Amino acid sequence: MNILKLACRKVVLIRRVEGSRKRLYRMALAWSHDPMLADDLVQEAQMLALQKLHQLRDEQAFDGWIYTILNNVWLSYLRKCRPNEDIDQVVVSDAISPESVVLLQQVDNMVRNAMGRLPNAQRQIISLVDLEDMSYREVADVLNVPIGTVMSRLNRARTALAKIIEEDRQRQQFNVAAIETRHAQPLRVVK
Amino acid sequence: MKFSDEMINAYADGELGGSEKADFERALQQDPQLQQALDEKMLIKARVKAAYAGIEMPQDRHAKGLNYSALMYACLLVVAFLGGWTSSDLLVSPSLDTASLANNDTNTGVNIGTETPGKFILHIGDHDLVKFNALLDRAESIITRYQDDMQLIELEVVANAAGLDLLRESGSPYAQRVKQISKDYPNIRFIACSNAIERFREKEGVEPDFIPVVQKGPTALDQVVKRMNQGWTYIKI
Repeated sequence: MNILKLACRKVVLIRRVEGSRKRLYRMALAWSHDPMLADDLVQEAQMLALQKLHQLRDEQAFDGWIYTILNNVWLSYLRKCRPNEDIDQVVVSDAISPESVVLLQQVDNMVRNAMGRLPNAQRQIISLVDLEDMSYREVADVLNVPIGTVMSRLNRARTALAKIIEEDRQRQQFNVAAIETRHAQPLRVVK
Repeated sequence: MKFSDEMINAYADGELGGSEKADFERALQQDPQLQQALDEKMLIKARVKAAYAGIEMPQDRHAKGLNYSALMYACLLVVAFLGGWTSSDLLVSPSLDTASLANNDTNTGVNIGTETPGKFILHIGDHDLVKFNALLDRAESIITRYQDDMQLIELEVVANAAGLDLLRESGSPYAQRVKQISKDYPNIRFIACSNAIERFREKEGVEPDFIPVVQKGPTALDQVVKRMNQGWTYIKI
């Protein structure tokens, strides 16, 4: 029955690759801040995973393996699109203007936007830890960086994120107050 | 005891154990500032998690078709019980034939082990004229290899992303060659990924000018998964 097991194993792995779309998408969205791009990155990663199925020796390592592939796809996209930038420092959403802050009233939108403004290396680490509950060791393996780097970047990411969110919140309050003040002014009768 | 921000994060992420964890929890009882620092880390962690918890997937273009995995299981079981698993053809390592056909400097063919001889799916995802040429060469060499047994061979070329250009009249200089190959070898099919077609429409505002032999497929991923589950060899160009 070993042969049956071996053959079934690959069928199971194909299924796992296929079934990991939603999780990969969430991660790709956190990294890229672009729904269409995230979808493309995921499809590319899944195709690569299917091509490399034979390289996965230990099924327990599936998650780390497939996120490593997604990371490679993402980094090669960044290298191609931004050849002159330091990939670790790439941000994917612009600093927002005070006017657009009112669009970010929903806290989830605000957090996602703030994520997009973190440097890439920090954004990747915080999303692997917080969205996938990966251990620091697993994150270090996926991103191929020392565990100490994971810890320091994660700390910088959380500190920066809290700061950005707080600043956006203050700007939003200021903006809402300004709108209310404008509306509160009595209309002048123009003769 | 003073704890670094990294240590506070490590506790929030469940990374501390043993005496480190016990020390941290003892300190928490006595140090409101430490508790506040931990609360801040936990809050930002929870916010990140929540921000992506409810995201909608883009419109799911993945067609729900046959459950090929389940089908494959069923086939395997039938073969196992009827055939007794005596044939070495069912071994997982690629057969000599597949290995030699799929042999290339960077890409090797992959199949799921219960390999069906003569079934190949070639995939192109880039607009790269060198790769277009390599793909058509590869397809022809596989077909030629099986020319004495044309009943056996089935080959699909699936194109997605910028690889779609290979299948368009004005996408590459290879349109004529694609037509010629499909005329010479009816058992080669050219399939365009539904995702890529949709992206093309969105970007260009027109339908892709496909070469008439091209079939519109499901997504490239679905097609590859389907064929791999049927024992085909997958070759990424």
